[in-house]
Amino acid sequence: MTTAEQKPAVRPLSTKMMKLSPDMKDGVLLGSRCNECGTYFFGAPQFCVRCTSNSLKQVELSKQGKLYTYTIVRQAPPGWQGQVPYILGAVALPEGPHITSEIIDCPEETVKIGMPLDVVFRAGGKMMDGTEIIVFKWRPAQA
Amino acid sequence: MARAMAVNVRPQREVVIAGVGLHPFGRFPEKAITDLAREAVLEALVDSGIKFKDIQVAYFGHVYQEGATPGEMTLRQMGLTGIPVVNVENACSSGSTALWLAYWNVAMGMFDIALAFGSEKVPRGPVATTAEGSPMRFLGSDFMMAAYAMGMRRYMELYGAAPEAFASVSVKAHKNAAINPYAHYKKTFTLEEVMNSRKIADPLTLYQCCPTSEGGAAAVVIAKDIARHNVKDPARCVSIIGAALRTQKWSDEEEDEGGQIALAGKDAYEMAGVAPKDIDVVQVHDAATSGEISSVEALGLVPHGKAWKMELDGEMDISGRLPVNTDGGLQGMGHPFGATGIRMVHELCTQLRGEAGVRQVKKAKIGLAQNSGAGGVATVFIVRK
Repeated sequence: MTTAEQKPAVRPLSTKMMKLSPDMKDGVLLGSRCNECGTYFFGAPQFCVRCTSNSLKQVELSKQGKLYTYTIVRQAPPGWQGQVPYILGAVALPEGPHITSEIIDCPEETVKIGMPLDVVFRAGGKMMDGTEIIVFKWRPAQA
Repeated sequence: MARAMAVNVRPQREVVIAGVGLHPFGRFPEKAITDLAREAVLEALVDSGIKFKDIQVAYFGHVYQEGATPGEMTLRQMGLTGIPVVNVENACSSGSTALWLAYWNVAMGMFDIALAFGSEKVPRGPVATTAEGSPMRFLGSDFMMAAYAMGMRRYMELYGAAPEAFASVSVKAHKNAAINPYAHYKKTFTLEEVMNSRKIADPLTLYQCCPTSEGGAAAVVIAKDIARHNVKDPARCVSIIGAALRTQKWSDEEEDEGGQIALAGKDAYEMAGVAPKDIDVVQVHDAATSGEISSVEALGLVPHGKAWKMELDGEMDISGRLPVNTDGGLQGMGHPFGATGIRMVHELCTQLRGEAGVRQVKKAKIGLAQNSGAGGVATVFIVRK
């Protein structure tokens, strides 16, 4: 086995959801805009679920949104053993989609519906084969 | 022209529930899901007076399973009668989906006598709804109770609801379950005990999340015009006057005004020719306590933003203005997925027949049951006696 093979593989959670910088430390969320009705979606759906058109264009989504709602998860769901408590937030982007992920760097007592949050890209666990997955998370907006 | 109803048909004849049965909900390590299902079916057959050889079609609701075709594996123990049997998976609404299929088959004249049944042995611990390795698992969002908690937090923000209102749903549910011999948890809790139980996903505490359970439920449905010659006691039959199943529909609204639950409710009210004010007793999907509050509002039984106060005031108790989850609901009865939707209709039949004993709602003539499933499913049944 060569050294190169021993280096753990790293990949984004989904190339349909995000575009990462070469060092995978920064990036942008990807979405789609329906060419017929103009509705925005997160990721790359094949069809517009509002009007059922199959004509959509890939777009980069805003890096900041507002907290729509949240919870503090205290019992670990599958794969999150040892990582509770964590704040889970649904963030409304200006384009419309609500995007749910962990909120980091945010003391529990400061989380508040309506607060602005920035998207960040972080290591988010491993696949069964050891591949490290880069996910998006939310962080209180930097002034 | 767009139609209001999801189902572009009208029932061709009246359909009644001739009998219902339950296997108690709880933990039964010595039993298979086919055992739980069979015992519920036998009880429903005895209750109806219909013989198994007279059942013409059967639908079995389940989510998890022990091998292929659990419906057939159950019924073949009772006789190889050659009837069509269909296994139905629609998440937590699998049981009511089986009943919906049985109802429409008889209503449209395909068969005269149908069986809807369901059972489940739900494993302990948090329930995930996606497969291993799915994106949601990496994002920490594959957790049903976290989704309920986020809906609850939004509701509290919009309407100023107190967390005690949600906890009081659990107190009431366990009070009802404690006097129901079929319930998983026959134990009462104080408001403080519910509020102070272990936190699962803020603001939801452990005693506000339904238990994972095992159990079975069954219902025999029959065309009313032949019921009198076939059932044990036609006077105990309960008519199905509304039967609706919907999935999520796109909404441009910022706030969810009831989603598929509201859609299924509208279908069922229209079909039944009744309004929310006509409903005397209600069963709704309280997998989390917040589910009861959002469901009664989605169904138009209570105006948006008002149900939390009614819960605090005890207006949804058995003796209240709008009795909800009189058998203990998912909170107290427990939640064996495939059985739950039929369990709700079992309780409505028990109430409308005046056989609920210490849980009896006074003068109950019309009942409504609402069952939800992951993936955006909702069913609503309206029954009358």
